[in-house]
Amino acid sequence: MTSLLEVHNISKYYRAKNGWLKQRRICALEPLSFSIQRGETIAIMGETGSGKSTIARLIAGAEAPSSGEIYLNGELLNPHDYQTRCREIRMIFQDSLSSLNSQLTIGRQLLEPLKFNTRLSQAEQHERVYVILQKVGLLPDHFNFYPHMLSSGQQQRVCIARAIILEPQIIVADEAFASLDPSIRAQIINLILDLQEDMGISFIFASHSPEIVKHVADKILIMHRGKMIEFDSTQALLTNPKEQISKNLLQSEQLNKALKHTTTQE
Amino acid sequence: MPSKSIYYQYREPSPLRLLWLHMNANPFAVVAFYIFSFLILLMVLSPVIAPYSPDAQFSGAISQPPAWHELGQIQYLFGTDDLGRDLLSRVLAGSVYSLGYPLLATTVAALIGISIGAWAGMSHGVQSSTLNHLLDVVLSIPSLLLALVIIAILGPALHNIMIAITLVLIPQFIHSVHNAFYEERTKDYVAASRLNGCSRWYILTRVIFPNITTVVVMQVTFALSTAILDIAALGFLGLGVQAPAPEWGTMLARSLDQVYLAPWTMILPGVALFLTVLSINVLGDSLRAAIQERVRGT
Repeated sequence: MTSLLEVHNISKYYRAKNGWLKQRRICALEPLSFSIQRGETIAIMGETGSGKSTIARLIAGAEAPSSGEIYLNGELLNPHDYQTRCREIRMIFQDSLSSLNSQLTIGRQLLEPLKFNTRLSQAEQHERVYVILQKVGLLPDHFNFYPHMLSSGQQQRVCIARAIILEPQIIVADEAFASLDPSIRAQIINLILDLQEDMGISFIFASHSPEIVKHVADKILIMHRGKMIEFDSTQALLTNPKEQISKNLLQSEQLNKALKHTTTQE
Repeated sequence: MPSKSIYYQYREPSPLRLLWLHMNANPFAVVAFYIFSFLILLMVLSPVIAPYSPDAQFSGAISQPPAWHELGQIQYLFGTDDLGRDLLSRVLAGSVYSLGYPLLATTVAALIGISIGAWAGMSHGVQSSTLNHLLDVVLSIPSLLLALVIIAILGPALHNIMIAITLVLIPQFIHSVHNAFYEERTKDYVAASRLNGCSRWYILTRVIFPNITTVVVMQVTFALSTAILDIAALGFLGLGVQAPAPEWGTMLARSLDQVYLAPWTMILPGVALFLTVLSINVLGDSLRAAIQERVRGT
């Protein structure tokens, strides 16, 4: 059986120009491969600049990989073919406000993917947007709102609505919860878990927070300086991490604090 | 950000209406807006409302002062010049040359410049820089000088000045629009639209363009005031619109030698020019501020 998404040796290099003709290649991601089954939730963990966001952006197609291929259901995905990709893979960006167009209403932005990827009539498209808005806990009235008029939690909900409106198989979230405060973060995570259950979506997310990862993820991918260090089920990684870095990353913040506290007391 | 307005029975004003509300809060903007609208209205209606033909000479009323002067006559509201031509009619007719033609030149330059700039902003590498620097040579010469060169070759005429001014304004539009596009293109919301499967045309016109309106508005006002001043300056130098035509700059130049005898022949076209340029600059500036304020949120 082929897995839902197969990532094959993808890598990403950036070219930094310093001076005439001199170019330095900066490696953001060294070749790595992994695969994802239907309905799974994968967490990508790592320090800042370890390539978490790069993986997310490469899978979603926001950037083209320097080498390697991505297969969806055994079929090769072309990095510049947004039309086929966006029906199956959708992305939630890190900063919800900057990923929404400040000059268009929420409704117009949610109509965008429907307009270009479905053959629904105008009225059906509007109906679909209303349904989706309610699904993510907003009101149909929000159709005519501009992004800056919503709170950050509501903005994140709009981004989620945009991600699920085409009923994709995979949603990629790039630290989508980092900027939210704890109660809203919990709401949004529960929302995503509910949606995942309803629609059978596979979910890939990059995160800093070990609590969320433990709570949500089936498998964890640990990154360090553009390399994949470990990729295993949450259970295995929690009980028996092979690397020290994984151990540090997965150690919960509370425990960290407690440890520090005791050491300072001593 | 407050979200309390969600639960009010509250109709969100359209972007244009919101812009108007912001503009209304600024008294200078309102005054400038009314002055500019009034000038445009006068320009459009000038053939109808001008009391006389701009070239009609009244031998009985030579160098007649304006009507508010004790020697003035009410049938010549702004007085007459040394050839006995009614100054009000001439100033009104002159608005077509001094406001209408710059408007035309700016519109043409904006259309060409914005489309090339947008094209350059959306493309990559060599194509982008070729388009961006297409008319840079023109930019290195001041607009007045370029107009002088063109006139030296083709002879003084209105359409030659128009070509010169349009040519000078285009690269400025290209540069500002290209830079604005370049800056916006890498932002997340554009990536999001790309991932929505939107066509390039849709991203260009509906996604990025509304976000660079401040740049365009600023550039249009700047270009318009430059065009007005250039046409007036060339007229003043006697290289632009030729003498019998009532262009404001030409009128200023002609009245120069009688400034002590009939100062109104110089002051009135000067005031018209001053009001036009001032209102355009104030209007453009407040429009830009209002757009920025709307984006930032209420």
